[in-house]
Formats: sequence, C-alpha cells, structure tokens
Amino acid sequence: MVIFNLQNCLLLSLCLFLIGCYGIITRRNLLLFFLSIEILLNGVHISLVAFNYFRWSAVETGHYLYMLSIGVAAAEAAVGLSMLIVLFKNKGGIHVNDISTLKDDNES
Amino acid sequence: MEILALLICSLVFLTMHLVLVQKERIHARLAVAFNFLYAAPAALFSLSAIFFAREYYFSFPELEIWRGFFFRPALYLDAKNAPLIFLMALVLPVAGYWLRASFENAAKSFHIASQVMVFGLTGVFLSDSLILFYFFWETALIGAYFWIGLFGKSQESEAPSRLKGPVGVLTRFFLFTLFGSFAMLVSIAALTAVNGNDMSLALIPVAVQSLSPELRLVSFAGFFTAFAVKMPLFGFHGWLRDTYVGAPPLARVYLSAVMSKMGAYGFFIIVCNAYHSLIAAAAPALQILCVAGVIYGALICLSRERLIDVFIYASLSHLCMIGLGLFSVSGPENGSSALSGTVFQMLNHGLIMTALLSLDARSSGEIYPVRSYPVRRRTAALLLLSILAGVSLPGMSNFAGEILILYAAFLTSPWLAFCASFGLLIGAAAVFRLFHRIFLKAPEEQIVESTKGDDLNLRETALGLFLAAVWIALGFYPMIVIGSIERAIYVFRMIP
Amino acid sequence: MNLEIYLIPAIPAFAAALLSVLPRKTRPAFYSLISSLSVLSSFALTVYFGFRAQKLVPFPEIASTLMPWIETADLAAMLAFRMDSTAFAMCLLVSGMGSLIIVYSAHYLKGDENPGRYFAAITLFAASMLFLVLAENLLLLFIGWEGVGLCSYLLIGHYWKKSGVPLAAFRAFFVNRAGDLFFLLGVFTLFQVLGTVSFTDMPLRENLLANPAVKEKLSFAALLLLGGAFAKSAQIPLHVWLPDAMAGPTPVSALIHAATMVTAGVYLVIRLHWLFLLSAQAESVLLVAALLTFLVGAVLACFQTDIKKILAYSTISNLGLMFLALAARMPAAAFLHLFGHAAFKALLFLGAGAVIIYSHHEQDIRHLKGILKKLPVTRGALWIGAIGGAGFIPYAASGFFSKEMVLHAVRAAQFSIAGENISGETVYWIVYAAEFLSIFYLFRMLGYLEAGRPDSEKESKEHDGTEIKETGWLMPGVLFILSIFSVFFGIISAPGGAGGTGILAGIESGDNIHSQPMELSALIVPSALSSIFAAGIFLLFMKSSSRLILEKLLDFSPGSRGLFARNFYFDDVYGFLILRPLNAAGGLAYRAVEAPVFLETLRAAGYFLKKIGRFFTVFQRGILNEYAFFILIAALLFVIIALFT
Repeated sequence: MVIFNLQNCLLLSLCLFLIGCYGIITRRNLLLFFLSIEILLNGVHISLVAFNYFRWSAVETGHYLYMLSIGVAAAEAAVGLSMLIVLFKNKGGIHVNDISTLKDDNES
Repeated sequence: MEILALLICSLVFLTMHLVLVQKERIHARLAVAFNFLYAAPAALFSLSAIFFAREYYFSFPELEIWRGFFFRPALYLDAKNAPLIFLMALVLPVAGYWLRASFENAAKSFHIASQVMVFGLTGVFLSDSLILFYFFWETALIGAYFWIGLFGKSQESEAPSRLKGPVGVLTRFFLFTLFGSFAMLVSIAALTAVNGNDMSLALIPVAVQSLSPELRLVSFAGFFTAFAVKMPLFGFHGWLRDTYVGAPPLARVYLSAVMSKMGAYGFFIIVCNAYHSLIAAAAPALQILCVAGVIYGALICLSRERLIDVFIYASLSHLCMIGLGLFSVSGPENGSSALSGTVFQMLNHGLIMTALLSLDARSSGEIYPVRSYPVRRRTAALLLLSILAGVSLPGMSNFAGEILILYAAFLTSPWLAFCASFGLLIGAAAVFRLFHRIFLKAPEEQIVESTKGDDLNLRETALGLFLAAVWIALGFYPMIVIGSIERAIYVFRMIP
Repeated sequence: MNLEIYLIPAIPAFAAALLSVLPRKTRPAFYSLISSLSVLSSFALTVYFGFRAQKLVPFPEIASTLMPWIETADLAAMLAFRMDSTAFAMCLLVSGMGSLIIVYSAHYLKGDENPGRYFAAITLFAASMLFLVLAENLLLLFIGWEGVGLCSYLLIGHYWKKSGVPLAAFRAFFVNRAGDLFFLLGVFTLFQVLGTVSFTDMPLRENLLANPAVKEKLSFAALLLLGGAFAKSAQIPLHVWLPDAMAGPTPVSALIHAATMVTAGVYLVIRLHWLFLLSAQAESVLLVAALLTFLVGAVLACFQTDIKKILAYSTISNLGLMFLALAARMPAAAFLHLFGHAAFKALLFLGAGAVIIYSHHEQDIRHLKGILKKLPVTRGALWIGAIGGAGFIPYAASGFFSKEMVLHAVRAAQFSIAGENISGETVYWIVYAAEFLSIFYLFRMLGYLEAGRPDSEKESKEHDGTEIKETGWLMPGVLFILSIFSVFFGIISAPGGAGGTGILAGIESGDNIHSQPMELSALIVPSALSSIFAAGIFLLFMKSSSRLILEKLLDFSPGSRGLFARNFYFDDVYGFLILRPLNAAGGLAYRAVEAPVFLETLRAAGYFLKKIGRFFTVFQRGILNEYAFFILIAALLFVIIALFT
C-alpha cells in the first residue's frame, strides 16, 4: 500500500520537476519544450498542495495559489501555443534554433 | 481637471498612431495635424495660466487605492511651468510643419516614438510629484532613445570613430542620460525614504531639511548630475554634438528646444528651490563653470564650419547662460527676478533653437539636395532673423531674459557678467561669420534659380514670421510673462 | 498721456514691417513712397509737438509712460518716452533729414535688385533712431541703440554680392556690439548704484553722491558707457568700422554714417553730462580719444583718393571735435556742431552720391576730374558743403559758428589728464592748426572734381554710351533743399541767432553758451587766412602741373604707404591682438579639449562597453535550452547557498 504522506508527495513532486528539467534542457522541439515546462510546473504545484494539506490544513492558501498558478499557466500556454502556430506558419517548423534571430550578428 | 486633457491628448494621439491607423506608414500630414491638435489645448491652458494667473491642479485624492501607498499622483499648471508648455505648443506644430518633408515616408514607429517623447515631456513639466516626475522623465528618454535609435542617420566620422551608425550615437546618448537618471533615482529614493511618502514639489525643501548633511550632499549631487547632463552644462555635454547631428531633424529640434528644458526645469524646480544653502555655498564654482561653458561654446563655434555644429555649440553657450541665471540665486528670499528671467529664457531658447535648427535642416540639403544657398531668400531672411533673436538684439524677447540673468550675475561679480557677455559676443560673431560664409558668398558659379520646394513656401514663411512676431511682442512687453512667473515663483518659494 | 509721442517711431516701424513683407513684384516707387511718407509723418508729428509747445525756449518737457517694460525685484525699466529740447531737435534732424534722404534714394536706387530690403531697412533705421532719441531711460535707449546698429549692418551689406561688402557690414556690427558690451555693463553699474536708469530720475539721486564709494562707481560707469559711445561714434580706438561702412549705398552713408547714427554717442554723453562731470577719468579719456580722433581723422582724410573715404575720415574727425567740446564741458557746443556737421556732411555725401551715380559708379577722385562742370546743381551743393565743412566764411558756412563755439569752449576750458593739468590754450592751438587739414582735404577733393579737362571723359562716355548729366529731379531737388538748409543753418547758428540760443538753451550745460559773446571782428583775420589757404589748395589741385607735384609729395611723404595707408595699423593690431588669438583659441579648444576629451573619450567608452557586452554574449547564443539550463543552475546555486548559510 502506498503510504500517502508528505515525504512521498514531495518525492513525486521532485521526480516531476527533474523530468521537466531534463525535458527543457534536452528537447529542441518547442512543443516538447512546452510540455516539459508544464511537467515542471506540475511538480511545483504538487508540492504546494501537499504542504498545505499536511501542514496547514486549516487555511487553504496553497490550494488558492495552485488555482491561480494553473490559471496563469493555462493562459500562458494559450499564448505560447498560438505563437507556436505562427512560428510554424512562418518558418515551417518549431525548432528552437529557428528563433534565435533577435540577437543581431551583423554588427561589427 | 483641464490639464489632464493635455496628457490625455498626447496619449490619445499615441493610441491613434498605434491602433487606429492600420497602415504601415502614416501620412506625415496626419502627424502634423496631431501636433496642431495637441498645441491647441496646450496653448490655451498655458496662456491662461500666464495671462490670467490661473492655476490648474489635479490629483486623485479621493481614490481609495492611493491611500497608504507612497505614490501620490498630482499634476499642476501655473505660471512657473506654463512657459514650457507654451513652448511645446509652439515648437511641435512649427517644427513639424517645417520639417514635414523629412518624415514624409517615415514608418509608424517614428511617430510612435515621437509621441511617447511628447507624452513624457508634457508629463515632466506638469507633474507635481517627485515620483511622477521621474516616471515621465524616463518615458521621455525612452521615446528619444527609440526615436534616435531607429531613425538616426549614420555619422560621417570626424575622428577615427570606432562606432559607426546610429547605434553608436545612441549608446553615447543612452550612457550619459542613464547615468544621470540613476543618480537622480538614488536622490529621489533618499528623499522619499526620509519623507515616508511621495511628495509635492513644493515640499521637497522640507524633506531636504530633514536629511542628514551627507545624504543632503549626495542627493544634491544626484539631482545635479541628472539635470546637468540633460541640459547639458559645460563638462556634461559629451553626448550633445554626436546625438544632435545623428538624430533625425525633428528629433533634434525636440531634443534641443524642449528636452534640454527638462534639465533646466529640474534645476529650477527642485535644485534651486530645495538646495539653496548648497547652491549658495557652491555658487562661485558653479557660476564659473557656467561662464566657462559660455566662453567655451563660443570658442568651439569659431572653429566649426557647419551651420549645425555652430548652432549646437551656440546652444551650449546659451544653456550655460541659463545655468548662470539659475546659480546666481543665493537664497530663498531673493533672486526671484533672476529665476523668472531664467524661465523666460528657457522659453526663448526653445523658440529660437526651433527656428534655427528647423531652418538649417530645411535648407542644408539634409532634406532636399543642396543647390545653392543664395537663392533661398526667405530661408536666409528668416534664418537671419532667428540669429538676430539668438544674439539677443534688444527689442527681441531673448534680450529681456538675458539682461535679467546678466544683471543677477553682475550683482555677484561684474567680472562674471563681463566674461559671460564677452563669450556671447564671440558666439554671436561666429554664428554671423558662418552665416555670411554660407549665405552671402558672392555667387561666382551661376546661381541655379530656386525650384519649388527649395525655399520656404508662403505658409512656412508665415509660420516663421509668426515666431518672429512672438519674439518681438515678448521683447517689448516681456512683463506679461516675466511678471506672472515672478509672482508664481515668489509664492512657490514661500510655501515651506 | 501724450500717446502721440509713441507714433513718432511707431509709424516708420510699422512701415518697415510692411515694406519687408511686400511681395517682390511691387513697384520700386511704391516702396520709396511708403518709406518717405512714414518718415515724413514722423517729421510732421515732431513739428506738431513743436507748435503745441508754443515756445521753444525753454522747451516744455513732454513725458509719457506707457507701461512697465522690465520690472522685476532686481531690475526695472519703464517703456516711457520723453521729449525735451535735445530730443526735439534730434527728432527734427532725424526725421527731416531722413525723409529727404529717402526721397533722394528713390532715384539713387533706380534699377536696384532689391529696393524693398533697402527701404525697409532705412525706414526701420529712422524708427530706431527716433526711438533712441526719445527713450526715457538707458535700457530703453539700448533698443534704439542696437536697432540703428542692426539697420546700419543691413544697409552697409546692401550690395552683398560685391566682395568685401559683407565683411564691412560684419565689422560695423560687431565693433558696435563690442562697445555695447561695455555700455550694458555701464547701465548695470548705474542701476546698481542709483536704483534707476531713467534720465529724469538719475540726476535726482544726488544725495547718494556724498558717499565716495558711490562716486567712484559712478565714475566707473561713465567710463564703461564711453565704450558704447566710442563704438557708435567711431572714436579711437573703435573707429575702424566707419571707413569700411562706406561700402553701403551713398544715401546711407549720408544719413547713417554722417548725420545721425554716428552722433548717437555724442547724444548719449550730452544726455548724461551730469554723470561725466563727476568723473575725472572719463573726462580725461574723453579728451585724449577726442583729440586723437580729430587729428587722425583729419590726417587720414588727406591721403584718401576714394571720394567717400575722404568724407568718412572727415566725419571721424568732426566727431572727434564734438567729443572735444564735451571734454571741455560744453555740451551745447557739441550739440550745435552736431547739427552743423549734419547739415554740411549730408550735403557733401549726397553731392558725392550724385557724382557717383552720374559717373556710373566711379569713386576715385583721380578719375573724376572736371566732372562737376556737367553737374550744375551738384556743383553748387558740393561747394556749399565744402565751405560749410571747412568753415571759414561766417554765416555762409554751416560749420562756422559751431566750430568757433567748440574752439571757444576748448580755449576757455581747463583740462587735466591723470592729474596733469593741460591748459585749454594748448589744445586750442593744436585744434586750430589741424583745422587747416580739413580745409586741405575738402578743397583737394573739389580741386580734382573741378580740374580743367576731364581726362577720363572718353572712358566715361564709353560707359553705356550715355553722357554724364543730371537726370531726374529728385536728386537735384534734394540737393537744392539741403543746400538752402545748410546756408540757413550757418545764419541761425550765429550768436544771437535762433539756432544758437534757441535749440540749445534747454541743454543743462551749467554755464551759458553765450556768456562770453564772441568778438566777430576778431574772427576776420583767421577767416581771411583760411580763405586764402583754401583758395590756394583748390587752385593747386585744379592745375594739372601743380597737382602732379602735390600727388608725388603726398605719395612720398613719410608714412603715406604704411602708417596712413593702413589706418595707423589699427586693423592689424586688432587682428593680431584679438582676432587671431581668438581664432587660434577656438581651434585649440576644439582640437585639444572638445574632440579628445568630450567626443572621443565618450566614443571610446561606448565602444569598450559594447566590447564587454559582446564578450558576455557567449552565454547567450539564442538557444532556448541553454538559457533554461543557466536558469536551473542559478536556481540550484541559490538553493545551495540558502541551505549552507
């Protein structure tokens, strides 16, 4: 039986966080990059909820924070995905290396 | 409530530039029309503040959200800052109209940048709160930054300049002004911290009084650096020449005519008002610095061969004159006439620089290819008129301001007045000499008859004559402005 | 309130504004009509004031204050006019002479490229001069003072396409502005001490004079004001601009550089005579400068061959004479000579202008031999003018009694330079001797112009194939009127005449001008002597044989090539002491300070900052994953730091 306690929850959170980290470091596809960010975010969310549940269950601040954060993340994902679509339309792909043109290399 | 209209006006035009006009390029006529539309309320309110001594004040005290928050937004307009708003009301349409050809095909961002700058400048002159002052100050700088950065022209290198292109100019401009702004931010932080709250301009002296002596000195240095760089005073003028030459013509006029007044206004409203004990202590050094600047600018004028360069350094000379007026004030109870002369001189300097720089850009081939100077009679005549106003011919408005400054300096020491007026004399001679060399050359090569667009057309000439009429009217009756400024300053300095 | 008084300068001022914006296609006659009518109406207004005053001696003062001009806690000056006898007489002179000369210009400028500019400027000049004369305080006077300078600049530069003309205009303007620098400082000093610069109020503050410090400052102020007066009235060492100013059209030389503007300095000193009485230094400076100017002008005039240059140096010399009278504390004599000089010098200049116009712009007297024979009216005018200027025939010569008055004053005066007393007698004899020089140069000129056969006749006939003769009626008419005025002035300026006592009685000179009536009989011998001298000079220069000898003599006289030809090296000294060092300083300031310190350092700073920035971009290659990695590392570092501290 899985023991449902703070330690295990935090372990799960850490796992998700590390998976996310691995993702954003290695993935060159922007869609997967996004996915990794979401995983990373969810790791943090789990720790938020877990702390609230096990330590300060009288008030539900952690839950609120989680709700707020997920809302912002959703909005951000919507913007990001739409930008991905535009990028795909313009460049024909969503590779990370395609969007490094802001740095201007022309100047001496 | 009315003065908010000014800010809103510029904001609305900004939004119109941004949103309403869908085209990539905005027609230059539209931008000029916006300038005229902005000028109408600006002229209305500033003139009623000057002539009828009306005072406008606007703040948001009833809004709950500002309670307990340390930021206190308030705007004011009275005879102290009305000359500067009036200056903007004249500069924007006149320069825009004269230089329309220079931005005929400019991209949308050109107008957006200029509008941001106008918004910032209006705000700086109107704000009655230290933090708001800083906010608008930075806004104006951001506008100028993008304007010069995006539309400045590459610079022909005189010295082995390593940085070519507008970015180089921009870097220098940015470095200097950012340096000044940060110094000012520190001072503002110190004042706000000791006051516990944002404060009205009139109450800065109280906050300064409660600073420790060391902090008082540091905050003085901070403000001084920011304003001295922006004006610029002698020694802080390194960015001046390159930026002006590199900036697009319209931006150059705005920079010289209005933006330099930001620094002068800051000196006048903050430094001279709040730090008079320090000013009095440092007055000899500061006055000598300013007189040195007057002479130095004039000497550089002698060695320059381009009209624009000479105007830039003559402008440096005159700004140092304004500085001399500011620093000839030694205490809170006296010197209000020197200060009012100085504020009046800010207005004059702005108007004259507008005319000089616009006409020069209009005729020097920057916009149209150079043909031959002598055939441009109207341009030459108006330019000569502006130069005469600039060398403060009695009967023109510049004289009234300059004489008040010189007299204040004379009361400190006759030698200061002598050296300053000697410097002005050299500068005037240099400007005249170059004008002669360019416009009064005996036409050995055949004169190309002026084609349409070379010389000023009738409407442009009328605009120029209007400016001249303003100079002469203010020259014969300067009291209409100076008197109300002096009263306003007197009241202002009595508040704490 | 007497608001009409403001109309006197206002009408020409508005006319000038109108003239300067008229379209270029306007007929030239229209310009001259508006211009002369406006100045004439000023003249009429002045006459109206004269009639209203009912009696001219003493002239009842008309004062009017319109509004405050500059009125602050420190400095205050009203926009106010005052007409007293001095101002009234000056107004008559300026507007009367001005309208005559504008009428004359209508013909002189026929065929000019840009008559609009000329008439606008000369009308503005009349306005400024009237403003100057009527101004009630020194600061207000400064508007007119600079205004006349500006108009002089514009008018000298009228033929700007000719080489050297713009430079002459420039020099005239800036020598005057240099003088004005001192003028302004003098005004400041006066204001600081007396608290007012009003002509009416200043002398009333005499209770301050008990304080020796105040007296010293006032004396200093007088010296400073002299700087302005010297520049405007072409006194040594600030006289260098006046000979150059002859580059302008001749009517301008007549009106501005002989009759009116250059006398502004004299007018100023007359107005502030009470101040100069207080200052021993100012008086000795005045004496030295005036005497030197008088001599230098007279000597240089003898060596000129340009007809206008002769008259220009003669003007300088006569201005010196006026200042000499002021140094002798006799402003009334100076004022009288101002008028006498205006009468004959305007006549001479306009006559010279007629000669120049009818000979198609020839100004060298050596090429103008015998020209007067064809120009009867001009001939009469020049003769009357020369007699008036040389001043040796009582009543006929406009300058006779005024010069006598000055000499009289000088003889009676007691001068002192730096504590050394110099008797008036010494100065008197120097001046008296030098007066022969003025006879010399004027009759030398006449001798050339009247000389037997015009040997350049063929040349001048080749000019456009037109013959030399007086055309039109405007120029001869004006010359005629002025000749009559000149003779008339010679009569009224006599002791007991209306001019001598009338106009001048209002001047507060301290002592009455005719307190020692001149013995007319005593003047007969010197007058006869002068007449013989004049006739001799005239005849010598008329005969070609003796003329050649005299030319050789003048040519080989010591200094004729160096000292005299180069205007006593004044230009060179100024160039060497002021202009070249300034130019060098300008170049040095740019090369040694501005470029390396302010421009290049900053450019370099920007450059290095950019380099540093570029170095750090190795961490920012534009690859998102790397950024994320750096963020994670940084976050980890923070955690580690937080954990272990």
